[in-house]
Amino acid sequence: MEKNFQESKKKEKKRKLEITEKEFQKEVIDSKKPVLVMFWGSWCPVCKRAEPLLEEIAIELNGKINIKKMNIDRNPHIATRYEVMGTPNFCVFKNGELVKRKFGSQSKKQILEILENENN
Amino acid sequence: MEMLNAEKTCWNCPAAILKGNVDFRSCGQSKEEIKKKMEENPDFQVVIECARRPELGHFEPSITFEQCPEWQETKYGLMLKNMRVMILGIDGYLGWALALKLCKIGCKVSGVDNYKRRDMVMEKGSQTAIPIPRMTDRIHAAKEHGYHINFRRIDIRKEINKLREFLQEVKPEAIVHYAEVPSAPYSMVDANHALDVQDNNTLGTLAILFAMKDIVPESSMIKLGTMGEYGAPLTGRPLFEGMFPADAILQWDNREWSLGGELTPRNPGSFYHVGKVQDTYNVYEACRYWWLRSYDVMQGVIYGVHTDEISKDKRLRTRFDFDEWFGTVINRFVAQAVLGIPLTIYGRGEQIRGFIGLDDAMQCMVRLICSPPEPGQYDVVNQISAVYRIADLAEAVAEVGEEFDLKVRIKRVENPRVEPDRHPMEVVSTKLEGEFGLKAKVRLKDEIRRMFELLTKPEIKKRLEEKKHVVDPRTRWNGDKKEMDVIEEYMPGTKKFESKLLQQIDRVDGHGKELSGIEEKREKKKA
Repeated sequence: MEKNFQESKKKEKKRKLEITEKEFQKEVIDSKKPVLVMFWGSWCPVCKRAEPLLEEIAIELNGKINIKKMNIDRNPHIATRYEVMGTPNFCVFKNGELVKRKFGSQSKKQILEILENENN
Repeated sequence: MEMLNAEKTCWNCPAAILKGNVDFRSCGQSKEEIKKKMEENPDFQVVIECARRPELGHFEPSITFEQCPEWQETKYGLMLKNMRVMILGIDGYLGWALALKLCKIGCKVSGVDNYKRRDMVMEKGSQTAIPIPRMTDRIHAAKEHGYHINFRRIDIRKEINKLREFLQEVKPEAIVHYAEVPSAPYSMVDANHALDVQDNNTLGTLAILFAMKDIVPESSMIKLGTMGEYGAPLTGRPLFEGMFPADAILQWDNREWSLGGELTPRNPGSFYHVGKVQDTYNVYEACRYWWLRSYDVMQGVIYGVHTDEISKDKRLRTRFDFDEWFGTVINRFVAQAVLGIPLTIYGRGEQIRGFIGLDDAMQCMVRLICSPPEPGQYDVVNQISAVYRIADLAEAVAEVGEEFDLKVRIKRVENPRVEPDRHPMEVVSTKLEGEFGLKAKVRLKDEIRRMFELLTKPEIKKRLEEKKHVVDPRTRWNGDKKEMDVIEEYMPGTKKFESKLLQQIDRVDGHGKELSGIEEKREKKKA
């Protein structure tokens, strides 16, 4: 029972990372906390490998910075608006504005570096 | 029962045809184009049409497998109702076993073969130990058991038009690619054989990729690779599942880069393996260029004779090769034990390889078919259920052989291959259990026992006897053809090995752990 509960919790967390165009306004633009959005594509092996890292970071930061990911093919408007030109594309949003961006394969340390100074 | 693929959506479904100007290159290359498209049409959105339920019209691809009535529960996860699966190389050791398994769970199975395996084995003067009927009779026999197979004799490499026509007719939702020559020694015989192997394997795969792109781009390709693509690097670096994990780092000159998602180095050990590596790149690129979907299965060394379906009727059995070219190691050891000739291990016999039983391998394939990748997704799984040292396997075969009153000897011969015979080995293999829910159940010794039971039957033993002369290796990697010099012959249980297995993987109740620790156990006994 306990295990099932934990697993379902885990799943919930997993699902929460992924957002769609409809949720973008609420989850990113209107967010009071800084948000890191990883734009990804299903055809990008680098993105697939980064998913577990992102989950780890989300758990470690424990809500200090919101971590989200968004598929660029399923949500072309947002991807185009922010000129996502390479994946994975790590974008940091603060008060609804894009403040920092880095793309390509990143190690955990490098992702955390992007987020430095953002949580105050 | 938990269905691991329940939350996958239309994005993964081979029946979903993407509509609405989907341009996956919205990232990068054609930014201007898609921008223009969206300005012209502000309501632009990605929609799909369902090939199975056209009455739904165009809709958002967000229905999960669990919600969709077309996906139904099976013991391997949710599966498309009457899923159309095409097996290329259906006449082979694996193809036939998989065809029957898929028929049993309700798939519509079609298959293609050019009987190349039969021809090659015959060319080498050998034969399958377990007799298999002609394809027509096989299909008749299968039909008697309710398994219907739609078969065409096609050479995928040389008869591309026929293959395309068949694809057009069947419109498979998954394609299993077994249509490759599975032999390293055969590719090392001479120029003709090497050319033949690489021609059939590499160019054949390329032909299928082009045909898929034109005819069934939504279908997923499950392609059989081999753990041999990675080789056995002497540095002992882990053999990841095709690509580096995100936290792998390249350090050089006081700087560092993430390697996450990049293909890991390959280290093939024969021209056959080189061809397989080329396949890996071909499939990888096809996914990148055309948004095809593929799982590349790095299968360990396979062994065994049993699945529920092929054991039902002796006419349904799959082939069993024991010659130096097409026999895999455990299968060959058992044949040698039955024939009363010493088991041949190469060099020190301390080579470590990943292994998987026939039934488990079939289970893996079904699970992969059930959980198709997303558009453009290329992924690799390491399909092994245990790692063993070759010399330990010989001991295990000898031990089971005793139950059948067989006095087994072991013979170390010089290694015909160019490979280290003592090396570290660490295989990463987590996806099959974690993502696809594999539950391995073939126990090594049980399967060896089953093989002995079958091969000691007089009619099969007779067939082994007939071809006794093709068992011992003669094909050397340097091109010579002669018997290998014997280094030593010993009785099982008398040999001590210097190397220790650093990694002990075993999925089936830790049975391999028991076997891997064979020396320690022996030492304990002595003490």
